[in-house]
Amino acid sequence: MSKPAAFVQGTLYLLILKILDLEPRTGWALSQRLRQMSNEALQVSHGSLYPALHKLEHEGWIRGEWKESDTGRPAKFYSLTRSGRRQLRLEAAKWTRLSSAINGILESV
Amino acid sequence: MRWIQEICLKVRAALRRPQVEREMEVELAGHIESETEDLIARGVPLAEARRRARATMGRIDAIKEECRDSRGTAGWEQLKQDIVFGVRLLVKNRTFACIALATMALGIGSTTAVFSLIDGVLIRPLPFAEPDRLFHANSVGMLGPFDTLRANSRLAGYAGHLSVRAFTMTGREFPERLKGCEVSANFFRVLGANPLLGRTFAEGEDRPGRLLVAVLSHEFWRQRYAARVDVVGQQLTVDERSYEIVGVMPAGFRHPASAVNFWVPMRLDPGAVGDYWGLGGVAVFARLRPGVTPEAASSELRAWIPRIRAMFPWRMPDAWGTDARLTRLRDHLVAGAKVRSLLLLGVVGLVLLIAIVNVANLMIAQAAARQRELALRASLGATPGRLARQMLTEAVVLAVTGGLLGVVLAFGQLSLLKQVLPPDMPRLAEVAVDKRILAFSAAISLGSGLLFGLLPAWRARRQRSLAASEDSRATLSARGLRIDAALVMTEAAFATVLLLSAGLLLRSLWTMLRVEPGFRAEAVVTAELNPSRAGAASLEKTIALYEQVRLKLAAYPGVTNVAATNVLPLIPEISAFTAAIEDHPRPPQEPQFALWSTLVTPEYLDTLDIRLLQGRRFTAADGKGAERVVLISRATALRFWPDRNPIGKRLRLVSSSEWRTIVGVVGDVKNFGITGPPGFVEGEVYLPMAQAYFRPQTISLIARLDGDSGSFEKRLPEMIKEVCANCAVSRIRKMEAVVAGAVQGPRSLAWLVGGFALLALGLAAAGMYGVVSHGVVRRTRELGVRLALGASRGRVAWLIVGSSLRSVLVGTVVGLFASLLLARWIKTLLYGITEHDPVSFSMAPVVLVAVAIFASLFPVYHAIRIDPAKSLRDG
Repeated sequence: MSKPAAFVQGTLYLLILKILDLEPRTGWALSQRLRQMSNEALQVSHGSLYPALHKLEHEGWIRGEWKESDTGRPAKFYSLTRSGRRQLRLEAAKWTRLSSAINGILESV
Repeated sequence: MRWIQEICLKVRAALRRPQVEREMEVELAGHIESETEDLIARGVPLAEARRRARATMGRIDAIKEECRDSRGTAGWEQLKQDIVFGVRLLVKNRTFACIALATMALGIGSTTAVFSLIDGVLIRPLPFAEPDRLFHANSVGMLGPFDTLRANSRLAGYAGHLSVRAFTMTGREFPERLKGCEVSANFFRVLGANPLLGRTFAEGEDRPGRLLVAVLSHEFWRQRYAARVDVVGQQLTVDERSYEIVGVMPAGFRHPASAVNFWVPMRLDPGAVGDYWGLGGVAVFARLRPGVTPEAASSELRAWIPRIRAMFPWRMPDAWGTDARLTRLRDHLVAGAKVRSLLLLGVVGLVLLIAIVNVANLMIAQAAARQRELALRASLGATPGRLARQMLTEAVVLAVTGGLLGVVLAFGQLSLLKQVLPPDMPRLAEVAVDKRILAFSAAISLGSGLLFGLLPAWRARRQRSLAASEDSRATLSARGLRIDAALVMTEAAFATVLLLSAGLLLRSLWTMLRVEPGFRAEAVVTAELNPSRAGAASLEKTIALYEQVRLKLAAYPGVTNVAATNVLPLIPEISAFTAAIEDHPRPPQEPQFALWSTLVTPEYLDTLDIRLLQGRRFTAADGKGAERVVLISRATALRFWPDRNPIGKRLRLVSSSEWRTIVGVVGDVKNFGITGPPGFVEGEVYLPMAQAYFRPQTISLIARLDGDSGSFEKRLPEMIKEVCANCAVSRIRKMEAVVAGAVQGPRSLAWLVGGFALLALGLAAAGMYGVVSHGVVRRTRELGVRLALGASRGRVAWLIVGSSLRSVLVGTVVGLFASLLLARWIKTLLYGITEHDPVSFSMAPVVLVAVAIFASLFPVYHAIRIDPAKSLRDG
C-alpha cells in the first residue's frame, strides 16, 4: 500500500514511460506489469500510480485513449507520444549516469 | 510566453472539467473491477476480493484530488470553489461580514484617498515635457542676474516668472480682480508647453517697447470667453492697459499656481537700473540641454555668480549667491507639502494596519466557531495545505470586497480631503483617482487579505481531524491567549503612535491659537482695494483717493475708525527692505539689516487697537514734504537699542540717501504670520503711507465698527463705487477670518490627523472589545469552574480585564518608544512645543487605557454574570 521509502517520483515516471514504450496499456495492466517486471520488489501504490499517469498526460508525454478492453468495458489506454519517447531517452540516460556513478562509488570504496 | 500557454491550458482544462472528472471516475472504477476480477480468478471469494481491491486503491477521493493536482487544474478549480465558498460564508454570516467589510473599506478607502493625494502631489511627474530636466535655481531671483544667466548659459535654458499677482480688469460693467503672472518670453518654451490656440510669447516680447500681449488660461478662457475660438486677437484690459490676446493654454497647464487667469511678459529693461538690479521675486528655473548633467549645470551656475555679482551697479555682499544651486523643479515646488503628505500617509497606513489586525481577529474568532467544519474537512481528506489555502482565499475574498467598497469610499474621502487641505498645497488640483491608484488599492487589498488571512491559515494547517479535536473544545489553549495578547498589543501600539501624532499637532495648534496677534480683530472689517492706474498714477493720487474712501466709509453709522495698509497683519506676503541703522554700522561686504515694513495711514494703530508704548502716532502732517518718520516695534527697539531711548534714532533704505527718524515704539504684532517673520528679518518698522518708498498696488482697507458689521460689508462695494468708479473691491471679510486663515494649514492638518486618530481609536476599541468578549466566551466553562469553586466576581472581572490591560500597557509602551523615534519627522510642523511634548506623551496612554477599560466593560459584565451551574452543563 505505501510507497517504498526510496522510491523516487522521477523513477516512477521513468518506469511508466518504459513500460508504455512496449505497448499501450490501461492503468491496471500497467500496475500488474510493474509488479511482475520488478519481481514484486516494487510495490507501487495504485494511489500514486494514477496521479503520476495524469501528470505525464498533462506534460504531453503520454496520451490516453478510450478503447474497449478484453473484458468489453471501456478503458483508458495510455500510449507514449513522440515527446514522451524523447523524454524516456533523456530520463533513461540520466538514470544510467546516476546509477553507474553510484555503482562506481559503491565498488571503489 | 510560457505562462500564456499555461493559462490557456488551464482555462481549457477548467472548461473540459466535467468530462475529465467523469473519465477519472470511470477509469478508477474500472481499475477496481479489474483488480477484483483478478483476485477472484486467483480464488479469493467475491466479497473479500472487492474489499481488497478497494483497499489497494486507498482513499479514492484523495487520489482524485491528487490527480487533479497533477493535471494542474486543481489550483484553479479549488480557487473557484474557495471563492464561491468564501462568498457564501460572507452572505451567511452577515454581522461578521458587515463589520469586517466596513473595517476594511475604511482602512483601504482612507489609504487610497491619501495615496492619490501623495501621488498627485509628490510622485507624479510635473505635467511638462521631460519634467526630469527641469530645475529650480535659487539665490538669483532678480531680473538682472536672471537675464544675464539666460543670455549666457550654454548648458541650460533659463526662464523665469514673478509671483502671481492681482490685476484689475476694467472695460466691463464692474471692475474685477484677476490673477496674472508676469513671465519671461521663453517661459512656455522652456517648460515645453504648447498653446491650445494661437501662440505663446515670441523671443524678445519681454523687452521694452514691444506690443503688450497676453496668453489666457484654459479655465479663464472657458468662463469669461465661453471658449470662443475668435478670442485670439481680442483685447484684454487690465490695470488700464490693453493686452492683445495671442493664445490660450490647454486645460491642465496652471504653472506656477492653479488660480492664474493669464500670463503677460515681464519687462526686462537693463536701462531701468533700479528695477533691473534691485527688484527681487523672480522664480528662476532652467531646462538642461540634452546630455547635460545637473552637476555640470550647477557648477556653470556657480561659476557665473562672481561675474554677476560684479555687474551690480552697487556693491553686493560677498556672500551674495554663494549658495546658488539647481534643485529639481518638482522637489522645489512641493518642498513644503512633503512632510504633511507623508505624515498623512503614515497615519492612514497605521489606520489600515489596525483595520487588518481587527479583521484578523474576527477571522480567528470565526475559525474557532468553524472548528467542527474544519475538523470534518480534515477527516474527509483535506490536507493541511488545502485548509490553509481555503482560509487564505476566504480572507482575500473579504479583503477584495472590502477594497472595492473602499475605493468607492475613497472618492468621497478625496473630495473631502481636497476641501479640508489648505488651498496653498501645491498641485492639489492635479490630484485624481486614476488607473494607477486603483492598481495600488487592488494591491493593498490583496496584500492585507494575505496578511490577515495568514494567522487563521497558519492555525488551520495544524487542524486535527474530527476525533482528535472532539474533546479539545473545552480546554483553554495557551496559544490562543498568546495570539489574543499579541493582537491587543499591536493595536495598542499603533493607536498610541496615532494618538500621539494627533496630540502633538493639536497641542501645537492650541499654542498657535493662544498666540496674541498684537491687535484686536473683533468688529473689524477689511477689504482689498485696487485703484485703477489713472486714479492712482502716483503715490499722491493714491493717498488722495484713499482719503475720499476713508471719509465715505467713516460717515457710515457705527464706523468708529478707518485705516489702510499695504498688507494686513498675519498675511505671509513679503514686505521688507534692507536698511542701514544708526549706531549699527556694518562693513560694506556684509549684508545690511532686513526690516519688515508696513505702510500705514495715521488711524492704523487705533483701528486695530495696537498699543503705542512710547513716542507718538503718525499724523496727517507726516506727509510728502515733512520730515521722514517711522515707528518701530517693541522687539526691534530691544534688539537695536536695549538700554537706550530709540526715539530720535534714524535709519534709511540702502537704496536711498534719506534718513528716517524713529518717532514712536508700538506693541509687537504678528505681521507675517503666527510663527513670526522669516529668519532673515531683523526688525519691524511702520512707515506713513504718504512717505512710502513705492506705490502700493493693493490697499487693504480696515474699518472698526461698534456694532453689527453685516450691513456694512454688504454696502461696502457700492460706497466705494460712489467715490471711485474704477476701483476693484475684493476680499471683503472680517478681520477674524484673517486670523483664522493664519492657522488654516496647521488647523486642517491637525483635524485630519485627529480625525484619523479617532477613527483608529474607534477601530482599536472595537478590536479590543472583540478580543475580550471572544475570550470570555471561550473561557465560559473555566470561569464557571472558578466561580463554582468560590472565586469572587471581582476576581473573575480582574482575570478578564487584567490580562487585556497588561497587553494594552505593553503595547502603549512600545508605541511611546516608537513615537519618540518618529516624532522628529514632524518637528517642522510643530509650533511652541517640542516634538517630545510631555503633555501629549502623558495624555495619549491615559486616553488609550481609558478606552481599553471602556471596551472591556461589557464583556466583563457578561463574565461576572456567568451562572456556574449552567456553564458547566452547557460547556
